[in-house]
Amino acid sequence: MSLTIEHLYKHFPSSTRSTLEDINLEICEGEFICVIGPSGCGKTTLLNLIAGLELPTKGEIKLDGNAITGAGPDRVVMFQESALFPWLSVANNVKFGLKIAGKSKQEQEQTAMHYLKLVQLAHFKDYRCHELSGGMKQRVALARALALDSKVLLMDEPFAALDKQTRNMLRDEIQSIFMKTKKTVFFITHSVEEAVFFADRIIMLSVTGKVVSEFKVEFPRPRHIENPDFIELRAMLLKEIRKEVEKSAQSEYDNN
Amino acid sequence: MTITKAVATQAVFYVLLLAAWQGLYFLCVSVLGLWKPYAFPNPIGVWKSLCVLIEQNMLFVAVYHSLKRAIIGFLLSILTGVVLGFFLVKFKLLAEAFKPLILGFQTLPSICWVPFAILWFGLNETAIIFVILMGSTFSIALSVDMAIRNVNPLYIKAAKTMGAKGLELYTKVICPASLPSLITGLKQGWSFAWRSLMAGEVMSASIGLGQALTLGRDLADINRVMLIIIIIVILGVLIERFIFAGFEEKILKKMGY
Repeated sequence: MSLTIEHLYKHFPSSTRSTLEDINLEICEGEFICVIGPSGCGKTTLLNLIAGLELPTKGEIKLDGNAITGAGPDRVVMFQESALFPWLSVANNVKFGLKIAGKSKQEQEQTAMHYLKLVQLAHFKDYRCHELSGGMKQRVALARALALDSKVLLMDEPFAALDKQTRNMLRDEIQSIFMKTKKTVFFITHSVEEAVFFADRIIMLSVTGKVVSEFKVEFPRPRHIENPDFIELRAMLLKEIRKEVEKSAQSEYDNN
Repeated sequence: MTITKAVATQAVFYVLLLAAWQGLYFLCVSVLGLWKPYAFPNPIGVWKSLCVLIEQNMLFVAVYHSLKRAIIGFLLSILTGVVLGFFLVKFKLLAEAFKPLILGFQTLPSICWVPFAILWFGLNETAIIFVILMGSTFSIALSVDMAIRNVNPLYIKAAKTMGAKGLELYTKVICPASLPSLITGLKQGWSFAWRSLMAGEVMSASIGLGQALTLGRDLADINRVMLIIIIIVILGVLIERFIFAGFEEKILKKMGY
């Protein structure tokens, strides 16, 4: 698996400047990439472009050498809100993509149960989504995304809508899941802490939608946020991102 | 317990209402002579009318014919309304042009179609069904359009990234997601169909509740007119309560809303 982004530009007609400018990235098999940046820097746009939910103005995104022209199950997205279908049970939500892919009933059942067990929700398979808590919903959404065994998993601030306690619990759980599955993940977050916790590589975007810097994170897993190295890197990144935010505030003042 | 209590409250309310009505009639018509007896119905008179109509076997025949027409007309309206609604969703540019027209047709009282109906089809079933169709199709079309447009875009995005496209997107995501508002739309469509039916029946002379109402007017029998109105209201409530509400609850519960 290889995902390459070459000279990618995205310009929305309604905006005066480019949302993304000359993005170049290469993502390798099994890599966990986190994208951070001040709000409005185009993180989610970048994810939508990879997902094929939007098309680039210029440049190309290639998955295994093939240019992306639309959405597809080889690039499943896990959204900020769970996006589970309320008219389906938990198990049927997980089976949704498998059904579309034309898998046999037995295979659907086995795969769904495997991933529901992985997120520790096997007992809830017949529940309706509205009967679950926010954290449980996101775990079902994760099971649903993993079940399709996509080449790359795209995650758009999956913890943003959760309370801090749930977020921390889920974070540990997801770390252990990814240590098992070794998935290639493209993860958008506004939380530096989350990025340092998960990433093999952190990409920082500027307000103008350019890649400002890249950091390799080589701490062993499972990671702990109390670790001194962890704290140091987090502080350094926070400083960097603050600079970016200040720049964006400055440019806004200048425009007024 | 609470249900029986609610029923009891309602029963007491309607008994009191009937008593007040009869009392008002007695006071204003019989004692004071303020109103003419042929212009003011009374509960006892309505009851007698009911007995006469049942005896002559006119009531059930009228109800049967009216319901049959309403149901046929409504089902046809669903068909044309859903097709038109999909058309509005699918062809955005044409929809922009068409929508004001459809909105206008929806607000147009369906009685306005009666002259056309009679000229095109004559004084028969088809004419009445045409009036029903014109009365409820546009409302259904607009609610189909709205129901589909209001589907949470996140569901569609999620389904697309899981490989759904084309028709599958409609059958597996858009239809179930829009079902709750679709049912509301159909309910509204039914009430339009029911009203249009009366418009059609009053104007044309086929057997039915509308014709029974006209007959009451022709015979200057205000009690019969009142009786038919009450029956129309009761049928409307029964259909709403027992068919649509039951259907709605069952489907929505099954779908987890």
